[in-house]
Amino acid sequence: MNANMTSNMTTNIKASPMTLQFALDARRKKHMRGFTFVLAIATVLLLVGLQSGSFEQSSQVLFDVLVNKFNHQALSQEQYLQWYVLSELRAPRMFMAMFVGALLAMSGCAMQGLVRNPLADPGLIGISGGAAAAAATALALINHYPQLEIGGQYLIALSAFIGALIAVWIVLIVARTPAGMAISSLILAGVAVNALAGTHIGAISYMANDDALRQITYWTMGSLGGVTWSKVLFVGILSIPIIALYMHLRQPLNLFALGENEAQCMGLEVNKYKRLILWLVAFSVALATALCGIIGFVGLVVPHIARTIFSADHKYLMPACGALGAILMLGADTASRALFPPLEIPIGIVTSAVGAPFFLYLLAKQKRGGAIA
Amino acid sequence: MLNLHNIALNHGENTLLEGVNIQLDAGSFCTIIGENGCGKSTLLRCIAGLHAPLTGAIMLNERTLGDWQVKSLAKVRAFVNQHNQVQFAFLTEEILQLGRINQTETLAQSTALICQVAEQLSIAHLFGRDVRTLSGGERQRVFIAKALVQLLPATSIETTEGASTHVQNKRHGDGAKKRLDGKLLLLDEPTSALDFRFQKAMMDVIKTLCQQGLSVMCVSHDINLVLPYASEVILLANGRCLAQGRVADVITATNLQQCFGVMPKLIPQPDGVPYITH
Repeated sequence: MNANMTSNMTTNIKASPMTLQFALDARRKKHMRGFTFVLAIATVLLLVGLQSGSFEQSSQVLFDVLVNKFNHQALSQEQYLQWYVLSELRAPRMFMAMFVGALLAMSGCAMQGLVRNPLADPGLIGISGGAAAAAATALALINHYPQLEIGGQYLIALSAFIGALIAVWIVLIVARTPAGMAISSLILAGVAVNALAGTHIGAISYMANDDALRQITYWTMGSLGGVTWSKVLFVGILSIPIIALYMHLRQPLNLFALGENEAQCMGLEVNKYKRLILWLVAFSVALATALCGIIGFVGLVVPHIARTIFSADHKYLMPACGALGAILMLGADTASRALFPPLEIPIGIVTSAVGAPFFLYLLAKQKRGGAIA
Repeated sequence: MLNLHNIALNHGENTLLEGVNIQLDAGSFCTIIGENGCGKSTLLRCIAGLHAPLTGAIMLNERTLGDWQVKSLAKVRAFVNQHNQVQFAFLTEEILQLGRINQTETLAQSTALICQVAEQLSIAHLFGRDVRTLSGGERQRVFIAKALVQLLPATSIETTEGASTHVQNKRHGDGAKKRLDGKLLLLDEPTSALDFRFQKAMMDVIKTLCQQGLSVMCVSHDINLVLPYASEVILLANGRCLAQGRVADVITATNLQQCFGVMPKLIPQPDGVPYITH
């Protein structure tokens, strides 16, 4: 660029490379503050979560148990019970909550980035509806044929997983056009599949007996009860490549945020990445839903919080969503156990109780003409 | 560097483009003029790869568009849309950084390039601002800057602090001539949201880059603004090229009347490019 250009474009506000450096430093500081905040909240929630529930455990008792355990000292009968509750009941479900929270939040982030709509949710393309319809079918069958009860839990999870993927597959087939996949068709097809799933669940609920009906209702509220280390290990192993793929998609999602045409002109294979993102979202939400039932609003709310604390740039937003999703679910799980002991509130109710008002707030903010983060 | 052979495009029964043949050399500033709905933006979008022509071939640097890898193509061809909407709270510098997404240079190099382009387009004071809060003109300048950041080579930017801007610019002016050869910038109404001052300033920047080898295709309704900068003009009517060539040959009262359906007045100017009015 030559001197002519400089003279033509020189303005009252003289720029210098330090201006950009200053902006980058300010962003870095904001991220550091956010990281410290997340770390502090995570630490508090971990400590509170380990102690909360129908079986009371004071910090001192927990500390003694942990010290004895790590010093390989024999535990008293009471301490053994404390250790059992801690290691076999609470710790696995807390880990499960974190994995599921991270998967749901990252899928929400990817979904919002793909459809360029901050009010989008993974449920939009029929994942939750498909999972619920299949799980309801499995629950009704198990109730009708008691011989299926052996391995029933796995049958429900597998049905939910397959149901979710079938729903997404139908949506993708319907939304496909010769020129690629149209986002508007995708959303409309998702609405139709969700409606079909709702009809299916309604029909099954109408025909089911009281036990099955209760089980279906309970499943759709989501729960982390009955989580074992083997389930955590299973989810953990599957989550690693999923999270790695989400991290790989950060820059493509940044380009999608500018619009599909812009993304294509900037060197993104739009249709390929669209398919990849949709299947990844479908797979991760199907996995989470299959194991824990329907947990709403995490995928919707967490990206907003992450954008406010960190940045809209997916380079930072995606890992932030993973961390905040894990924390939100950890908090929701703790609340579900601690609010009305010995009762345990289904975790889906807790997340919806927090998420639904937040969603209304976002809608009201948008209606007033305010920009959503 | 850009060749269009017999391009045709339909939408249903409507013919959008028909028999369009264009040849553009390196360093050309080609402006496309025509009435509303004549296919100017459609033609630009075909070259940008957003519409696949029904017949014909588009060759960029002697390779058809289909033979290019998408990422390689993005390094040599950039497109600036007339309207640019961002849904999320991206900052100005984050949008500009996306322009370097396909490059493998160091952060210092890309930062230096972004700074320089931002300085030239007078948007450096917008760093740290949410692009959704920018005015239409500011946003348009940001997106043009992103397109330039996408095309310009970072290696031509001096990163040594304290170097004289004039010396730097002179060096770039000489050294970058060949570096911008084979690069194409597509602009759809690039000055539609700009004020009087920035309209001219933006055209000056683009013309300077053309002198360094950049080829530009620009759709504009502001004929009097773009013609003095254009080395070639294409008059488009009903999806067909009515006339194309040098400004003096194409901009005639007869051609303009054929194109727009009204007889314009051409007021001669000292630079040889007539001022067009009703």
